[in-house]
Amino acid sequence: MSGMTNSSRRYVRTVAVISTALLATGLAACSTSDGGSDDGKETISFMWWGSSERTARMQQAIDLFEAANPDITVEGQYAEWAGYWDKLATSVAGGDIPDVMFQEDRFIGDYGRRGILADLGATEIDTSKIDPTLLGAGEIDGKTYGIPTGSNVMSIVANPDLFAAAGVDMPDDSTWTWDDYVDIANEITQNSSKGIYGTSDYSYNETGFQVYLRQHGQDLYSEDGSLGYDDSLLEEWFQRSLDLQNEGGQPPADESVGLDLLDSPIAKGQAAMSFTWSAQLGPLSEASGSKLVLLKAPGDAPVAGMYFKPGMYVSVSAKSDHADAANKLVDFFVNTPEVGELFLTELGLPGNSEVRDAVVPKLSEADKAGADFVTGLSDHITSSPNTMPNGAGDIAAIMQRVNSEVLFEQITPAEGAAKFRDEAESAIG
Amino acid sequence: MMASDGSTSVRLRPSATAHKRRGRADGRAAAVFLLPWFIGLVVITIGPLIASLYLSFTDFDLLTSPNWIGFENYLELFQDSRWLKSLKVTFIYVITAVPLQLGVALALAIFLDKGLRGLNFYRSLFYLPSLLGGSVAIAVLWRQIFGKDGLINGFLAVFGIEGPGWINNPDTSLLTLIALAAWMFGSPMVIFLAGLRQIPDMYYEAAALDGAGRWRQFRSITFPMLTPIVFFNVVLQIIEAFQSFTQAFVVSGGTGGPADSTLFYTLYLYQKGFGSLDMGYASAMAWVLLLIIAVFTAINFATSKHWVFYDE
Amino acid sequence: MSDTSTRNAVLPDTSSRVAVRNTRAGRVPSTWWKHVILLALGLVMLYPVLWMVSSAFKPNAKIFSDPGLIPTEWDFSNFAAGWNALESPFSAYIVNSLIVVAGSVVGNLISCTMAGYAFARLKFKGRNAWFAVMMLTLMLPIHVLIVPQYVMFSQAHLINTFVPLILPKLLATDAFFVFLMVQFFRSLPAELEEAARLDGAGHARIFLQIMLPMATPALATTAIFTFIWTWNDFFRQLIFLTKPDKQTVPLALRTFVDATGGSSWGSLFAMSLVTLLPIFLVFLFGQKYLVKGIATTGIK
Repeated sequence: MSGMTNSSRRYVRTVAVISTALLATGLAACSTSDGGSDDGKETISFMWWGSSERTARMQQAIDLFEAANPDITVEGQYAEWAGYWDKLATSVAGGDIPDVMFQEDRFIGDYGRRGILADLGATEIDTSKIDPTLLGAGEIDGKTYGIPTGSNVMSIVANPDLFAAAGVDMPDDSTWTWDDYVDIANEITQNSSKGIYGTSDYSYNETGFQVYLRQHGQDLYSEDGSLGYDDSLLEEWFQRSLDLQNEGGQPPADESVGLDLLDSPIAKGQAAMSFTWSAQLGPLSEASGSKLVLLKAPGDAPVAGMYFKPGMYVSVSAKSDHADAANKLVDFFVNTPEVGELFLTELGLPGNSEVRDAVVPKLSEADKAGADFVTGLSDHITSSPNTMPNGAGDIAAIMQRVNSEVLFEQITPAEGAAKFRDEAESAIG
Repeated sequence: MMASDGSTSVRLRPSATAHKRRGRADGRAAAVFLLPWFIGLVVITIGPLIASLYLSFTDFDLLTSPNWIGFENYLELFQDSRWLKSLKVTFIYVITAVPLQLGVALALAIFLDKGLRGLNFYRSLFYLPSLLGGSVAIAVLWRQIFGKDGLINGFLAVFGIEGPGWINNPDTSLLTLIALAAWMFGSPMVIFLAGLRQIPDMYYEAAALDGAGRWRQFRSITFPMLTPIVFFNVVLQIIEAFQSFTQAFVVSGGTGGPADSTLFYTLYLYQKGFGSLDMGYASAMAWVLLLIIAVFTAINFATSKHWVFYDE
Repeated sequence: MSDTSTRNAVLPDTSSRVAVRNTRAGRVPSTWWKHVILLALGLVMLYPVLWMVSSAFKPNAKIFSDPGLIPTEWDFSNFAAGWNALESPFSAYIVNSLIVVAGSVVGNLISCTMAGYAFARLKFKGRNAWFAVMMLTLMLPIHVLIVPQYVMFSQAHLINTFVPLILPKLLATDAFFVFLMVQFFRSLPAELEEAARLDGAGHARIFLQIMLPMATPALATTAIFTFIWTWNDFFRQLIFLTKPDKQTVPLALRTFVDATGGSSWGSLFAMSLVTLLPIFLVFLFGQKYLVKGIATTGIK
C-alpha cells in the first residue's frame, strides 16, 4: 500500500499553504489598530461630516494640529451628512466611538444623556474667548457636551442675479411677510426662462418650521420634551409650500424634493431663494457661481422667529482612552485662528472672538456681508428654543419624508400635519 | 486464505462484516468531512436564528442589555405605516419583477433554441448583464441613466417624448428597479436553454408526424417539459426578490425614497436595525419576512401539482 | 435580484437518459431577421454599459453634451482623479476585496467539497435528515441571522475585520455550493471509487485522489460563482466593514457616489469600470465553466 501519490501530495501541500496564508491574513485582519501608542505617539480618531471639499480642509486643520503636537496623530473619519448618524451609531454600538466627533443640536442631547459624550466643562479646554450665549447651547443639565464651532442662523439665501434677470426688486427683509415671499417667488418664475424658479423647496427643514413657530410664539418642543405646537401651523406650513409648487414659485416636486443642498436648484443657480443656514452662503455661492446674499426670514408676526444655532459642536467621547489628547484637539480646533481661516464661515461664524477677528478680514465681500448679517442680528434675536429631547434626530428625517409626501400630493397638508405629529411623538416618546 | 499449516478456510459472510465495518467507518469519516459544515450550521446559522427570535421579543438596542417586552415589537409593526409601505413596495416588486424577468428569459430561450447560428454568442451576450447587474456600479449607472437628464430621457427625446425624472418621482422610481430586474434575465435564460436542450427530439418528431403545428408543439411538449425548471426558478427567484437590497439602497441613496417609494423590506430593516439601532424591532421584522417567504414557498409547492409536469 | 438565479441549476432528476436533442435537420432558412432582432436587443441592453465605458474617457463637461459612444475628446484624467478621490487610493479597496474574495473562494472550495462528498458518497445515520436541513438553510434570508451575527462578532471584537465575511465560507454555510457538489459527486461513476476501496483506500485518499481531481468542472464553477457573488456582495460588507481602512470595492464606490454630489461623473464612471472589470474578465475566461456548471448539475 503506497502512500499518497505525488500529485495528491502536492495538492495537500497547496491547500496547506493557502490555508496558512489565509489564517495569517485573517489574523492580520483581526488586529485592530485601536489608537494604540507606538513609538510614544498617541493616535486619536476624529469624525466629521461634509463634502469632499470640507474633508480636504479638515485634513489641513489636522496637519496644523499635528505640527503643533508632534506626539499625537489624528486619524480622520468622515461621512456625508445623510449617513453620518448611522455611522456614528454603529461605531458606538461596536464599542468603537471616535475620540473626537462633530455633534449637532438634534443629537447632542441624546448622546450626552446616554453617557457617550464627556463633560467638557470639567476639562481644561479654554472657552474664555467664546461667546457665552453660544457656549450655553452645548450645555444640557449643567454639563457641556460639546463646544460650538460657530453660530448660524436659518435665513433666506437669495440670488440677486436671478432677481435682476426677472426684473424683481430685492425685498426689504425687515418688513416682508410670508405672502410677500410667495408673491415674489411666483413672479420670478413667471418672468424667468424655463427651469428657473423663485425658490427651492422651502418646507423640508424642521428647523425652518421652528422659525415659523417662534414667530407665532410657539416652539417645536415644550420644556418637558414633548411636542409643543399647534397642528394648524404645520398645516399652514405645508399648504404654503404646496401652493408655491402649484403656482410655479417652487419647482415641481421631482426636481427639488429630497435633494442634497449642494445638488438643489439654489446651488445650480436655478432658484432665486432658499431657506437654509447662513453658513451655507459660501458653499452655495461657489456652487451657483453667483454672489448670494442673506435675508432675514419673512414673518407675519412681530416677534422674530430667528435664533442662533451652533453650526455644529465638537465633542469628546466619554469612553476615550486618550482624553487629554482629545481635549487638546478640541481646544486647538475651536481656538486657533489658523484653523478658523481654513473654514472661514463654513462651520458657522466662529464663536471665539480672537478667531473671528482673524477670519473677518479674510472674508470675501459676500461672506463679510453674511458675517455682518449674523452679528447684526444679535439685537433682533432674543431667545433660544427649548432643548431638543432624545429622538430629535429622527424628526428631521420625518419632516423630510412627510414633506415629500405632501409635495408629491400623496397626502394633503392636513394629513401631513397629523402624520408628522404621529411619527414625531413615537420618535421622541 | 492459506493458513500456516496449509489448510484453507472459507471466510463466512464476508459482505456482512465488511459492510458493517464500512458503515462504522463511514460514520466516522462523515463526522470528519461534515465537521466544518456542522460547526457552521450551529454557530453561523441555527444559533443566530434562535437568538434573533429571542431578540424579536426584546427592546435590544445594542448598547444596553435586552429587556423582554413580549409581542410589543410585532404589534407595533402592524401599526407602523412605514412597515406597511415597505411590504407594499416589496410585494409589488416581487409580483411584477419575477414574472417579467422569467417571462423574458423563457421567451428568449425559446427564440434562441432553434439551432440558430451563433447561439453561444447570444447566450453570452445576454448573460453578461445578469452578472454585472448585482453590483453597486450598475446600480449607480442606473441611477444616472434614469435621471431627469439621463440616457433614457435622452432616448425618449428622440421620439419627442419628455420623460419624467424617473428616479426622483415616487410614481416611477420603483419601475426603474423592476426594469433592472428584467435587464438581468440572462441567467434564467441560460438555464431554460439547458432545459430546452434536454427535451428529446423524438417528441417533436412524433408530434410533427401527427400534424401538430409549432404552437401546439410548444403547448404540449415544450412548456410541460420545462415546467419543473420554471417551477424551481420561480420558487428561488421569489425568495431572492423578497430579499432585494443593494439596488434599492444605491438607487435611493439609502433612503428608500422619494417618499418611501423604493423602501424595500430589507432596506427598512437595515434602517431600523443598523440606523436607529432598534435591533429588537429589526429582528421581529426579519422573522416576519421569514414567515412571508415560507408561506409563498408553501403556496408555490402546493399549487405546483396543478401545472408542473414530471416526466414519470 | 442578483444572478443567484443560477442557483436554479437545480434541475430535478429527470432520469431520462435519452439522447440530448440535436439541432434539427432541415432548419428554416432566412433567419437573418432573428439575428437583427437579437443584435438590436443586445445593443439596447448593453448600451448603458457601453455609454458608461465611453463616459469614463470623456471630460466631465462633455459627458452629457456629447452623447455619442465614441468620445470626441479623449480624457484619461478621470481614472487618476477617481483613483485618488477617497481617503485611500482605490487600489487599497481593490486589495481588500481581493482578500475577501480569495478567502471566500478557498473557504468554499475546501468546506463545500468536503460536505458535498459526505452527503453524496458516505452512508451514515440520518443522512437524509441532515441533507434536508442543509437544503432548508438555502431558503433562510440572511437578514434573520445578521443581527445576532453582528452582536456575536462585535463581542469578539471582530467587527471591521474580514473574519465575519470569510469564516462562514470556511464553514460551508453556502448551501448552494454544497448542493452543487452533491449533485456533481452523485453523477460520477461509482466504479473508480469501489476499485479504490477494494484496494484498501481510506476516505481521505478517495476524496483527495479520486473525487477532487474528477470534480474540476464543479470546482471551477464554485470558484467562479463565489468570486462574482463575493466581489459584488454589498449588504454583508456594509454591515461588517465599518471603517475605510477595511472597506471593499462596493462600499468604496458607494462612498464615492455620496461624496461627489453628482459633479464628477467622469471619475465615478471610471472607477465603476475598474470595479466591473474583474467580473467581466472572469466572465470572459470562465464562461465555459459557468455554462457547463449549470448544464452539469442540470442534466442527469
